[in-house]
Amino acid sequence: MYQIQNLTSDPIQQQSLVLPDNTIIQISIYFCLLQIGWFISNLQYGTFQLQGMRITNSPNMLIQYQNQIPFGLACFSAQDLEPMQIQSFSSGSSNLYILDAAEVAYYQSFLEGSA
Amino acid sequence: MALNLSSVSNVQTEVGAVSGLVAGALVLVSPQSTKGYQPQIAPSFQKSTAKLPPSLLFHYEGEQTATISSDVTDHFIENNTAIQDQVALKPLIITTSGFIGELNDVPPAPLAILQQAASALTSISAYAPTLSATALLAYNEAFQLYQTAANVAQTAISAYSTISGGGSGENVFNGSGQTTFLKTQTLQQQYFQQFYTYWADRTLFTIQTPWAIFQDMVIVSLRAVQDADTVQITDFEIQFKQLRFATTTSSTLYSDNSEFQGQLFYQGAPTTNLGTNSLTPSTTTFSSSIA
Repeated sequence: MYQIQNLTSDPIQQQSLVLPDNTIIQISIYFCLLQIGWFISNLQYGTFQLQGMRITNSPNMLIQYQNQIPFGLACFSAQDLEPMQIQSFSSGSSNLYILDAAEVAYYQSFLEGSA
Repeated sequence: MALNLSSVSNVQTEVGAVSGLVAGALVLVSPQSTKGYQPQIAPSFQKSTAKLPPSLLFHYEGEQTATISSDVTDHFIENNTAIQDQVALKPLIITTSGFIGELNDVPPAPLAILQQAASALTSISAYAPTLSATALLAYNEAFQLYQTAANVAQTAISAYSTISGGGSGENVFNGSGQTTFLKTQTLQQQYFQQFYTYWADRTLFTIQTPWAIFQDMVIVSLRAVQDADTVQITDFEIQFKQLRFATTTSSTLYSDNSEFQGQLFYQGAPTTNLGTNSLTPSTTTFSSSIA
């Protein structure tokens, strides 16, 4: 599990994440005041592209795409409070994590009750 | 307007004799040139350099009213007093009236300057009595001759229409507002046709009133009345309402969101590029996080 660092309180931000296998994830997120939350405006990994997903507390928000991408995306927050403030990530109250393939598989088996 | 009315009876008599009309039914009207109705170019063609349509002038201006009003809210509270917190300004309304007569002393264009000269000289008749009388007489004679000729021509047209079975000179309006224009129209028909066309086309007017000039006025109602006494004149009662136009403006999007508030502050924010970052292993394990 790798924590995504450097997230700030800027409303619109993007960065490239280098995975251990040197492949790159390009991710753009933005804060929507009316929705009181953060959204992934674009996530690009090779030919895989995801647009318009709300960031919520979840062990793997990308579980439905586990057969297409070798990683997962988790969001954990202190006191289970959803990331609904613009300072949620910069203050550390919420954190985003990249899961490796083993962790994605572990979570799948956890859901199936076999973990 | 100074005019030797003694010659009018001669004109009336002659016109009645020529055109077969009853002289007693004719009414002489005087123009009021200080007020008028100027059609405007449509807002969507404001940049057009096309010539404006001619102004409309009644032969006689009747009553004119300008109404300005507003709606004020009344909210009654517990002690039965009213609180007014909103004042909405309603559009300006102008009601005007006048009539168009078949027999009038509106000079034809070639004689307009002559009439002005006669009028101007009359006002200083004490200083130039001989010239004034001469000019006035010249104008009256010219106008009388014009009226006689015009009525003879009108009589000829009527006679031709009767003989040939030609058009009666009436306007024909159908539901789509189309107009059939015939050459043998009376002045009343011509004015009604103009007003009808302007009404159907939603034409805006610039209206000169005794109090001010109002622009962007559109016809709300038009009432043409030809009373039972004579067929020679038609009263027009027109109500105009002033239109207000709203326009859209676009502002330059600032390079930052410093000018915005609320949601726009976030939507207008520039994208922060955090660069390329390598991932560092978390101090907590995934299995402990979901346990």
